[in-house]
Amino acid sequence: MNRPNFTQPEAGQAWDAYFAEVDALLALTGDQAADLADELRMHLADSFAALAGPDELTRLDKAIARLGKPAAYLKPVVAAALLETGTQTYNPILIGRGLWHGILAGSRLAMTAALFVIGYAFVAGFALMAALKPFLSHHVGLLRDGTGRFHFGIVSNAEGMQDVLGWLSIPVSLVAAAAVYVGLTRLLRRVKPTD
Amino acid sequence: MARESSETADGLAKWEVQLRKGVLEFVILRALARKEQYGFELISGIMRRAAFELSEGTLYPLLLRLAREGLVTSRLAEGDGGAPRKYYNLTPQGRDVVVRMAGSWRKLAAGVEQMLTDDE
Repeated sequence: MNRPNFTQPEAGQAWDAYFAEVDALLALTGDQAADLADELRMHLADSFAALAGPDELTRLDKAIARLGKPAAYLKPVVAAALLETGTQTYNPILIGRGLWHGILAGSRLAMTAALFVIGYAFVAGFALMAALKPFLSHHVGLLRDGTGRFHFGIVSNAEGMQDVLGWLSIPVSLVAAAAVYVGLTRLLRRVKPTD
Repeated sequence: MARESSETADGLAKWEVQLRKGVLEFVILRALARKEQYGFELISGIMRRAAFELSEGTLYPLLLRLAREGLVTSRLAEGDGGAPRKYYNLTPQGRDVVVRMAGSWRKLAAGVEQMLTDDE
């Protein structure tokens, strides 16, 4: 659709390669993918037609250079779509991929997305505590050292420390992970670090 | 010395990119305030009239965001060649925002211009 009738096969191949990349990126975005891909095809066809010169490949290369690399300008769109769906369904895979694309998008988006990644690392940390407790029971949980200071997490040198919560640290860690996950995800839905 | 000059040029180039990005939203809304336009027409007009140089693809994520914010609306209509095109237009809220943006821009531009004149 909207593909010019190239007489040079190389130009046709360059067009197809460009839109293979566009389609692969936009496949992650759901509903808006077809619309935006059609719009980009129309844009490139218009731009190609507006350029003068007998060599189709040179004209197409110029038009593509003006439009930009798909990955460079579509990353924010992909990140926004993944985060929109991910935060609505609390899907950690979509959220993770959305944040990754947000980081790749660069500048301000990357900074905000990176902050959320750090936040989700705490969720992973709490979940890891619950998973490791049965295997490293004396090193994981809420521990009190000889000076009376409390340590919550995974402690490598736990000698002489008292396990305050015992096995209760498993449900406590899981509740903490769930609470931070839900809170962060709701915040992420509001902040929209892809704008 | 040459390295310092190259770093200065890089810094200036980055500043110009940020400046253009910052103004792009206003320029798009302003262009749409004149008439409804499709993507290629819009970006070509902006590059020609405002001497703007930017990757044309950056227009589309921005238009999607402006639509999400309710400042821009779009409709499919037959283009010159008969193929359907997506035409963008301002919503009433978008028109209100662009008027206020123009006021802020004039104030800012006049202030900076005054500073430059005073320092000359």
